[in-house]
Amino acid sequence: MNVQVQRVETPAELKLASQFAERKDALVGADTLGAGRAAAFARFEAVGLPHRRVEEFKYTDMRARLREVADAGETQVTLPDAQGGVRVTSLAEALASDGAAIAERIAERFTGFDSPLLDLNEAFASAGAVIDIAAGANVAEPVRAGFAHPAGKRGDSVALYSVGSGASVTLIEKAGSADGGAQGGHVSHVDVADGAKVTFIRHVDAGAQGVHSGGLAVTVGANATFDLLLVVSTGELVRTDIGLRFVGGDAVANLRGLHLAGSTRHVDTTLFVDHAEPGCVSRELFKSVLDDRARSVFQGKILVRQKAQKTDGKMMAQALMLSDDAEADSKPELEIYADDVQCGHGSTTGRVDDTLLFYLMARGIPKREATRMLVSAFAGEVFDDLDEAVAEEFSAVAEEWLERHLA
Amino acid sequence: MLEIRNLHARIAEDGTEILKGVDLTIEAGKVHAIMGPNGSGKSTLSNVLAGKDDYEVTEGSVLFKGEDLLEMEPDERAAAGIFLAFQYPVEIPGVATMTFLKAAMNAQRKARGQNELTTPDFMRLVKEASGKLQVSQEMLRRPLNVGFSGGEKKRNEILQMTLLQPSLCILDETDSGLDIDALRLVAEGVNALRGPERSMLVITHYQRLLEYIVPDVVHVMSKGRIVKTGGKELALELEKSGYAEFVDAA
Ligand SMILES: Nc1ncnc2c1ncn2[C@@H]1O[C@H](COP(=O)(O)OP(=O)(O)O)[C@@H](O)[C@H]1O
Ligand SMILES: [Mg+2]
Repeated sequence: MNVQVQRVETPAELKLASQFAERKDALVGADTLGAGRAAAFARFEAVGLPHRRVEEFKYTDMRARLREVADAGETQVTLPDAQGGVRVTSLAEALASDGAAIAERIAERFTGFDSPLLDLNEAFASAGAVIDIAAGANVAEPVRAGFAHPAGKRGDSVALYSVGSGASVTLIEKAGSADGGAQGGHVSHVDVADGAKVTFIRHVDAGAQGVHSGGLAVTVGANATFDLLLVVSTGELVRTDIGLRFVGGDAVANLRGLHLAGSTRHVDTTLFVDHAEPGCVSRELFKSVLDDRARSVFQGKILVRQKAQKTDGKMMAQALMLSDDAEADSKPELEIYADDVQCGHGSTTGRVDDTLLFYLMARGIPKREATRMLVSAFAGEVFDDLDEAVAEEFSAVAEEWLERHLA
Repeated sequence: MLEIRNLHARIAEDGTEILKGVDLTIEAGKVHAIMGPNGSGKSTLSNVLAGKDDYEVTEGSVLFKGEDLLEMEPDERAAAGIFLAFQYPVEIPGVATMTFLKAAMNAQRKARGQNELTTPDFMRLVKEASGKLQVSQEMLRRPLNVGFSGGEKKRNEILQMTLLQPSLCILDETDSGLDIDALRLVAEGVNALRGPERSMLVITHYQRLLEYIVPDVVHVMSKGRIVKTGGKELALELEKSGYAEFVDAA
């Protein structure tokens, strides 16, 4: 990262430092996770809250935006229901029985870029879940977990998922607290073994005043498929750092996201895809629907390493503006060291198309309903290919948002 | 049914006047045809009637069933009974054709104070109408007009017209891009809708369509005005002599 070392100095940073000093010995698993937490906090302290001169935070100045740090509170974790092929343990239980291995998994987080926010999460996370899917399991029902950060307080959570080889599963997590005003973050590590097929959905619902800085660190094995859907429907400030690395060849990742934001909300998803192995396909489609003075940021980088021949990577960011004052920024980057690859990126920003709107109205559909149909059609593309029930569940989230935002 | 008086309209964006005093009265049950060279303002007239806001009406009036049409929003016009079969139907990705058809039918019913259609009733109506127009189930499952051929789009317009049962059907060059079989199919669909309470305005560049949809009255439009009106024989005359006379005269 191109930034000079600086001391922690703003009131928010100082409060985080004193919180860490006060709480570190009392956090769950202090004996096993203590060293990793101290190292994570030291990394954070070396740079402080990232500001806009830090490349990855160019559009999202955390130092300017996070002026007050809330007091620490308790994160409520809702563990998935039991079902065949799924082993679920709370973070506390897992630390008690298997502390060293868990500490190692947490320390191995892959995002591909430095993220002081994820370091903060690592330093403080004391609630969470460990969810392991057995090799070969064909898990019938979606595995659902919830990580609700405390209203008006600060909370951090972590989830460790591993999906055994050849297994197939849908993982759904809800992060943040709709009750409002929570600060914190949720970070998930997902290890997808060879030949597994995973649909991973995260819904960030951080409430009107919520600040959520989350992360997703994914490794994908050979011939595996990883489909992601990230839906951000509320939160004053939501930043999600995503890193995905192909650790085996001929795997596929479909990464999709939907930012729904009105008012003065700010939603940033920053993504890094590491094609470290040959023959992998990655598709990124990130959409935003923006109202009022909301702002959406999508930064995506695809790295194709020298050995990753036959890589196929395409990235697209699209924004639909419902107001003149909204803003969408997208920064795609390709870094390619292999010669036999197909990579591309694009971005579009636009408003509801008047010609299409007129067509619908000319058939008797009133303007509001016609607009709703067109916005849903735009957003709905991210739900394509999902299981029907799951697609319906999340298109309902988008519909509900739209209902509130259409004049 | 429709009374257009001295209608002037210009392009809102740059102020170019396109319609320069159109007068046209269509009685209930009558089929009128408008013919005319490209660029004479035929599509502009149909779009102004449907309520497209790319155009500004600067003078004149339009009464539809005695009401001021120009005061209504496009959806209100549709609910009142205006239907425009577009010259270039748009593609709408992400909106399934069936969803769209149901939304349109129910929106109009709602505006008229009628109950929403039940799903079985809706399915039955669509099945009947699409069968006659040879619109396949597969087409109905696709997003609206996406990947449809030119002819399929036009048939889809007539399908909508059949389902919505408008009282004034405006057909803007529905014949363009149709082969002879498709033309027959479309004409049959249109003729099936003819009745004492329904009027039609058939815009075409060629006389061919009018062999299948026989008009009561034929108008010639040139440079934003109706320059000649006659019976169906006028269409044949035009076929022989072409539009040159009107282009020069206007
Ligand atoms: N929205 C528009 N923007 C710019 N020019 C237009 C627009 N609509 C119509 N025109 C122009 O007005 C004239 C009449 O067009 P149109 O009504 O489409 O003619 P026709 O349907 O008779 O071929 C043409 O010169 C056309 O280019
Ligand atoms: Mg035309």
